Amino acid sequence: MKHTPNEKIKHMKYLKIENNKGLYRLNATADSWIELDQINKEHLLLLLKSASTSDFEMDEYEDSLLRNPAHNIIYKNIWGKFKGFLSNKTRFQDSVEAMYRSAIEKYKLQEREE
Amino acid sequence: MLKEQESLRPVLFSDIRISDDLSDFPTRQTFVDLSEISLAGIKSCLNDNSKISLTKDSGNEFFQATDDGLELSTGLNIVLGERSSGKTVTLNKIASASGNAKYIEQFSLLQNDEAIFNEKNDSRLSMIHNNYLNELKLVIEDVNQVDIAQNHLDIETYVNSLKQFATENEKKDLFSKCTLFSEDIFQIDNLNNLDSVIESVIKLIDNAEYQDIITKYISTDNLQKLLLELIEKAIDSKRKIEEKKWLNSIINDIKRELGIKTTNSIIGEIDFNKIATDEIKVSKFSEVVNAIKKERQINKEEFGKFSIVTSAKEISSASDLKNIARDKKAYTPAFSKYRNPYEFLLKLKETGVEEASLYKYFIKIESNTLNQDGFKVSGGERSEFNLIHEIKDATKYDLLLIDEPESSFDNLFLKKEINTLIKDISKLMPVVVVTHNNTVGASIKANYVAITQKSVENNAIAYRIFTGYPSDKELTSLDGKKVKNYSVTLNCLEAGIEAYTERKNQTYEILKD
Repeated sequence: MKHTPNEKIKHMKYLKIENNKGLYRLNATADSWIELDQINKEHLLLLLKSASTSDFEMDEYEDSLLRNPAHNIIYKNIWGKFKGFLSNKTRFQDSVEAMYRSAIEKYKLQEREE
Repeated sequence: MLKEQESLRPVLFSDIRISDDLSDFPTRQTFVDLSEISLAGIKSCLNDNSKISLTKDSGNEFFQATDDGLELSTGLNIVLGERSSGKTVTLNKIASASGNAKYIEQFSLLQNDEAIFNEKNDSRLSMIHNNYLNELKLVIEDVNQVDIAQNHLDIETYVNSLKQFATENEKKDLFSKCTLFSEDIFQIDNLNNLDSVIESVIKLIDNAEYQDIITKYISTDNLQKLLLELIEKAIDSKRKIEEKKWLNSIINDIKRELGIKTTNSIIGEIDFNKIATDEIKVSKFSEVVNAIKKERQINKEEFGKFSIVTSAKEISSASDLKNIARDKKAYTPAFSKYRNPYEFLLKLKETGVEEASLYKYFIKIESNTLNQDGFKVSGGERSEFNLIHEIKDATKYDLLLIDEPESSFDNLFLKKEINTLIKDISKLMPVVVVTHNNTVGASIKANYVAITQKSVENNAIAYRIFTGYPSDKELTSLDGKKVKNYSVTLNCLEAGIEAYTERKNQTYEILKD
């Protein structure tokens, strides 16, 4: 995960480990990091949105670097799930894509014919 | 006037003078269905509309009724004969030869037991009962899933854990301090409503039958745009739901792990939305049940001169419940809760009522058969009602056979009505009536008569059927033998001429002033 300062503009970090604590931020352009014990569900939702729409970066989970046990638990879980999500960003879109497909195809076509 | 079946049929005459050299007859004629011309025969035909016609071809026709060549009228046939002379055997033969005959057997219409009669009617009307209870059934299916007692327990557990959590607030540890430790998971929305709106719009677009009315108000173009927007909304909502479910799994995992590590109590999970919905369900359910308990008539079917009135009213005793259940369980505890629909439901389940039949226990549905005066039918009328029902059913068959209808009727006055019914159906299909009874036999004005006879010839028993028109002097058997119509008919119906004359002269004459 090494990158030059130029690339940093594109690759935005949302989760990091520092001084044995887990930190997150909701706005990748601001330098306002929050400790992980403060995270709530709405924040998680905002992180998911960022992960879906932008280049989402986070530090690899490393047990030995997270001595704060509560932070460790939270970081491990979020990191694990988000890692899975980033490998397939369109998973939620894909799961609903099939919905009403026949209806959309049928009526969109009719619309074009007119 | 031609259409007035019940009144005397007008006949056409011409004043032509008959002479031997006449070759052409005027068209103004009346045809009479009669094989032997006699003044008495013509007179009896003029009294019966079905025996006179204005064209030659609309007179009665015949059909072969049994394999051995017995021919009967396509109208009303009456089979007479002394005991064990082969009447029922003949009827059975006709039935098997036809293959599609409606056979009303002896005594089958008899219904002295009112309860059995009503039960039979109830099963005829079970469709109406089920339709009426359909909505209640759906409500009960849903409310049956609600467990208010468990909900109350859940609230108690939750409040206790909350209190515990609050008292420990001062000594929170590293784990319980985390926001996610006491965070609720995301509520997952139910999209059934949106789905059904989409389905409805698709129905509106696809409906061909009422397309002109639909497009008068909403253009197809707009409907399609509406549909696509709704679908867009649905896809977006479903995506959000999937996301929230995914996030909930993270939150739950973190909460669980923090919970293991902390020394503090965990606030219990509770779904207030579900609990509140359950409360509303129960109160709506009570509303529905209280509404359905109001007495009302739910169906009325006219059936000849009878009407079947189906009405619904509230349960008035535990034995009502027993009657619905048809078992021997004790329904008194359930009935004691009848005023409170939800508790009543619970008690019914406790009593052991199957969940699928719970809906039957909330009201009593009864069908009463009333006569034309609006009173409950008598025993004889029940038989008459059954006959009407059977006759109505007979139109699905090729042939109607009735074995001794009088066996089911003890009331002489009703027999005249029975005759009318039988006579009416014979205008639509061939009818064969076996009878002993003089009211039925003599006054029904059959189109054709068959008399069965058993005789001993050369030490062997021979069965014969003599047939002919009621007005014929003689009836003929298939092997050409003849009998006198008058005397054999009296033998069959009135126990012979002597008995008849005696009854006529002595019994009836005495009654005259």
